[in-house]
Amino acid sequence: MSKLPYDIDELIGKYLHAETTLQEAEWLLQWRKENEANEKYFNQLKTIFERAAQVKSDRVYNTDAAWQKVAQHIDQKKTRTLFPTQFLRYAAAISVLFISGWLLYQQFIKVERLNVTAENAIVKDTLPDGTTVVLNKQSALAIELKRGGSKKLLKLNGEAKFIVSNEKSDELIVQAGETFIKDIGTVFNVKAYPEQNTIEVTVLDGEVMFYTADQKGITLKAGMKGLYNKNLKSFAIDKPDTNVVAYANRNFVFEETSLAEVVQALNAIYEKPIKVDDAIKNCKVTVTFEGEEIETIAEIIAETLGLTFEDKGDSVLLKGNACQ
Amino acid sequence: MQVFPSQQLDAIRQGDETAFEMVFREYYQALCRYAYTFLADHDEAEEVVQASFTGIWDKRTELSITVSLKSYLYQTIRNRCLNIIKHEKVKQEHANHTLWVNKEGYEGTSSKILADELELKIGEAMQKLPEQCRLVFTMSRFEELKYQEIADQLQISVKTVENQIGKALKIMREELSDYLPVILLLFKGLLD
Repeated sequence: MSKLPYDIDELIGKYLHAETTLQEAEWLLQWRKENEANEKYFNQLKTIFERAAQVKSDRVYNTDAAWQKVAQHIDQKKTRTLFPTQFLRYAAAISVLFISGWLLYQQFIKVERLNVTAENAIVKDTLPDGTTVVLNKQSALAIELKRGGSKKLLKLNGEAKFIVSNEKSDELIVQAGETFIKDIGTVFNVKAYPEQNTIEVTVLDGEVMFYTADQKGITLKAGMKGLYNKNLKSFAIDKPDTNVVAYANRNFVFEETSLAEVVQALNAIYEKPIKVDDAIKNCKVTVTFEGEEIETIAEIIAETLGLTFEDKGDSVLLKGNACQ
Repeated sequence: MQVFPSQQLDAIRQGDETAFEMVFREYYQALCRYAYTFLADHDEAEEVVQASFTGIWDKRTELSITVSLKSYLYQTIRNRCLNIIKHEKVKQEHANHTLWVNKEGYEGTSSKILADELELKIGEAMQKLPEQCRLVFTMSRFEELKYQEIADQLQISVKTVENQIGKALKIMREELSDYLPVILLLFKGLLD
């Protein structure tokens, strides 16, 4: 363990309780990066911390029976201060009125809730209003549609691409962590995995507003990428990554990209991995793919760089001589 | 201190039994589990929670709550449990004994430990913490109080809270060292 100005258990405890200062959080991060043992230690304490609040006893308590007992006690007390029957009748009539009114009201402003989740495969779905959503792996989207109302709120956990149909004037707001993304007739991608420190919004078409409850945030136009740093609570604009929505459409644009990076990008999307020899990992390639099958892609790369490719069934192998 | 407006609370003050029942049903399981962390006895835990609710009902017109209803319930349970522990040390020891007996039961089950079982193990480890350490830890995890709030309520310094939480995590980790690696692997397997 390296010299920390702190007892490590206290520091981790503070961090898990969100009581650390920025500097303390930074120390902890450094310490965790030092070696695997530290990281493991941190994760063990984190598991204990998270699980402790859900500690289950080995029995489920009988709430009904317990309430019977408590209700009995309440009713005994009540007989002493019994209301006149007349009053009770009025009270009952009024309650009925209130309840029916409330039920009508509920019916009227009914909020429709939908959930879309993607676990190990990419999911594409069209919402009732025509908005197309493509959810990346390990992502979930909760949708609230207010009947009669014009606002839609989508809560995102993970990564998704939104293609909003232009004709509809309905307002769409995506909530990702503490940030909101308000669209103005657009196609955009949101990356908001809870374990990542940044929330990313890339606009492919149109315009969006990217903000939080207490910050005005930034306006992003087509071709711009906005970043929000959860620790610093600050927004920034960055150059977009060309292949950010590749999982949604399987379109890739590579320009003078090393084969290692190309393969990494492809393997993140396709089930069947491409494997390359170390010798050719640094070969640069400029190529565009539009929704091709992985075998076709491998073939095109092989042809472009003068390599050989071999389809092994569960993977594709690229071999050849080092590029100059 | 901030005053939390609570419709539920107003309704209870005015003698609305349905509102009271809803609160009871919402919190009963969680409060029993909380009480159990102090008492290590299920029946006693249930009794404390039920008694707390009847107590609240009887005093409903004089209730002056300056925190959220949830915080108030947890505080009530905590205070009652601490009183019981103070007055009935003997019972507590007996409970500890039964807990040990229970533990034997789990030991032999199987090499594949389920997530639920980890929670049981954590519960047991929590029972073995020194008294103040356990109190600070349960206040933080069950009542979700900030360090400053724990310090205020127990009249100790924030530094002591930091220290006790660190100590609790450290002791529990040592206690659970046989289970944690397995569990982490299991979780990793689920994520992959």
